[in-house]
Amino acid sequence: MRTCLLILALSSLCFSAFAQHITFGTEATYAPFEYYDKDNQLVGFDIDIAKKICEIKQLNCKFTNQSFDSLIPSLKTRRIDAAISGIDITPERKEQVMFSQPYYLNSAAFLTQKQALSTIQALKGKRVGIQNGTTYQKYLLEQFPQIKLVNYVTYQYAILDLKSKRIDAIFSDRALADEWIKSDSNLAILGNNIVDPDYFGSGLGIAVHKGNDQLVEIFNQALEQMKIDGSYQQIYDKWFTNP
Amino acid sequence: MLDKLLNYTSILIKGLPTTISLSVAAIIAACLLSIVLTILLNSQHKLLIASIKFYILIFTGTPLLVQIIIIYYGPTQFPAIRENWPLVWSLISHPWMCAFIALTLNSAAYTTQIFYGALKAIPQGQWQACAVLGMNKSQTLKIIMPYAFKRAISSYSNEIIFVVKGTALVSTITLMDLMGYNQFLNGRYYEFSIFMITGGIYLLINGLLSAMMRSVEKKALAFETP
Repeated sequence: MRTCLLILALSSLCFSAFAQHITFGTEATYAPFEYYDKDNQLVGFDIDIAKKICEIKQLNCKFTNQSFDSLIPSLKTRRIDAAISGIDITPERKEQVMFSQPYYLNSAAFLTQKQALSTIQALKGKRVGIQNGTTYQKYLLEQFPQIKLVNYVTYQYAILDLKSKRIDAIFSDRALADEWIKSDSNLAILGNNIVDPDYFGSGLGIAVHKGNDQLVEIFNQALEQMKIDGSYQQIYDKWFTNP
Repeated sequence: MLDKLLNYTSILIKGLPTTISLSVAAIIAACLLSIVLTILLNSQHKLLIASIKFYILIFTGTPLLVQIIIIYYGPTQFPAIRENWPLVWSLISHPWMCAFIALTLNSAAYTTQIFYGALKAIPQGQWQACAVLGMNKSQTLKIIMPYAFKRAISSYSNEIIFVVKGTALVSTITLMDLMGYNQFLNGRYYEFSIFMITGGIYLLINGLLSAMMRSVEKKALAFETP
């Protein structure tokens, strides 16, 4: 009986300790969603959302920084519990992982050197940089087969190559492109924002291991609460409303 | 399941031309460069020898990945290169060229060590025999170098395989080699089988290469094996 109790006590201890620790995977070269600021602190919209969720649900949260195309494999092998990294909710990804409700509605855009190109049609045959494993890559492959794709591990390298004119444009999230334009006045958005629900526009979600309904439920409850109590809007304004 | 694997393989195969062209070009260029460097290392110029040794130290002492990234992204930090030397710029703006330069310089550094080591391992008596016959330095090297190189083949074949494996790093500078397509597929389908196939293809290439090198070695040393 005593051993039984001991096992019960230990296992409940283990379980509670386990439940409180959540490791978020992210790819921190994606300002303003997640990046390291000048003090080497991990910051961004996604990071604030995740931290707020952890605060509301009293979880002990930790972040790991890794390449974008390794996030979903890491979820599948349970090296991380959740991934929050500007991940678009797509049918293809839903086969691999589960998503929370969308926490941000995004759109995509082409970023080029100012006055280099006039329309999106002019991109035919040009070299466009994208991050490997993103929905932007898939979208260009399927919708703009005439464009030459250049695959990068991170957008950080793509922006270097755009500035040195090795590539003609970058296709990425609009919020991301705006952030770069802020830091370099020679860059500009080409054409209009692009939304295609088959690829992006269903929103960004927090991905978790398939079958972990409990965690998705925790995230969804927290997100709902944040929308009601106004903390979501606060975080949104902090990162996306230009002063 | 089999369809899927075949489909992955057919996409991965598209990376083979880049992997193979880079390997072959870098191996040949590195071999030629290291022969020249080995001869120069045998010269009397102190400054020349010191600078070659410095080059070897740099390229054997830093990771290949670092070298590739520095050669590709480094020069772009200086807009002057783009404006003043358009020819240099057009060369280095191609990722293939940057990868080729990095692999060649890296492999040449190791290969020089292999060749120079083999030359040093030739017994002193052989050099003396040449001297006795009244040969000068270049005549001596002409006799001794082929003799030394034949003995270097087994370690040199390792270096060749090293170059082929080294090409797996070039996808970091946007080249779509075998590993580049592997990353591309992995980013879309998240299947571990893709890595297995990629590994299998590299294994096949290197297996063939080492078998080839073994037969070359056998032929080269045929006069010595009983």
